[in-house]
Amino acid sequence: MSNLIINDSIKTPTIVFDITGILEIKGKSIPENSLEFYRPVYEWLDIYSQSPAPKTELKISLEYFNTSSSKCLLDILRRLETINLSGKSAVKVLWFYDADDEDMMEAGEDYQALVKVPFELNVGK
Amino acid sequence: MLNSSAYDMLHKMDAENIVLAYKGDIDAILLEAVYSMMDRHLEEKKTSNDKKKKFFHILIECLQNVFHHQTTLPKESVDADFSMSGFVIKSDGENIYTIITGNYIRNSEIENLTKRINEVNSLSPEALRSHYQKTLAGNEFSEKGGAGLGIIEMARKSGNKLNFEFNNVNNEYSFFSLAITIS
Repeated sequence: MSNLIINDSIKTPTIVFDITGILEIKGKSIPENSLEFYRPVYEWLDIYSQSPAPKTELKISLEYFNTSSSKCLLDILRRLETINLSGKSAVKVLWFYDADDEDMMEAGEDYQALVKVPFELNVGK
Repeated sequence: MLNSSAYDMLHKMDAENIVLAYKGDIDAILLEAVYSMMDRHLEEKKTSNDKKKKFFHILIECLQNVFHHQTTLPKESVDADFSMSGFVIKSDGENIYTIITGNYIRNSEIENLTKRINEVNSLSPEALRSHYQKTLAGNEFSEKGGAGLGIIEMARKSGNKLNFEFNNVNNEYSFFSLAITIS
């Protein structure tokens, strides 16, 4: 398998998922059809989950996202949760937000509560 | 004098505090244009970054809600040539905006939609957050591509109640108007 690289656009984030286990989602995510945009990410993770790197770290630093992206983010996190539970890879999620952005902090807390995977909230980019 | 005087029309818009109005179906390219027009408008008004962010957060949900749910009526089912969606953005004072959207829906959807909006309107900010979390964790995407989160988010982010109304068109369809104020 190869790395997944999706460049950002006005409505979608940069996505870099590296087979070495370093994954990153960065920018803003407001597409109308989020499911269509995130489908390659799901597909990549489904293949990756078969033989993941010993450590997997997902870094999410989003300025903001729409509600349909929020559903897709949860589905990505759920896949990572499954990988973590399989014991094949130690998964960690790093959620970054601006110090003055309470919305993104709350959003991070919401995900932290919804998925059972090591999840850190950090101020910064 | 011309009936089509821009001067008169723009004055009418101004008197009604209308910033932007659009009649027609909403698609991805149109939305991009609307976001950049409103970005320009807020820049001109020297709106602070956090107010801008809040405005866009809600605008995106309102317009994408129409995008996902708009129903184009069969031509024969409406009297006038108005088988489309639309929206109006008004500004009723400094940093006060109202976004009003309109689209046709099937009458069979009215009951469920009314229930959902009334529920959202009845919740406190804390209860809205947990309602959001529950819906996020529980709902799958509907066939229309909505996740049931849009109206919760509009209420949550604006801190205001949603106003809505249905105008019956015929046995099968109604026109659904939804208004939310951002202040």
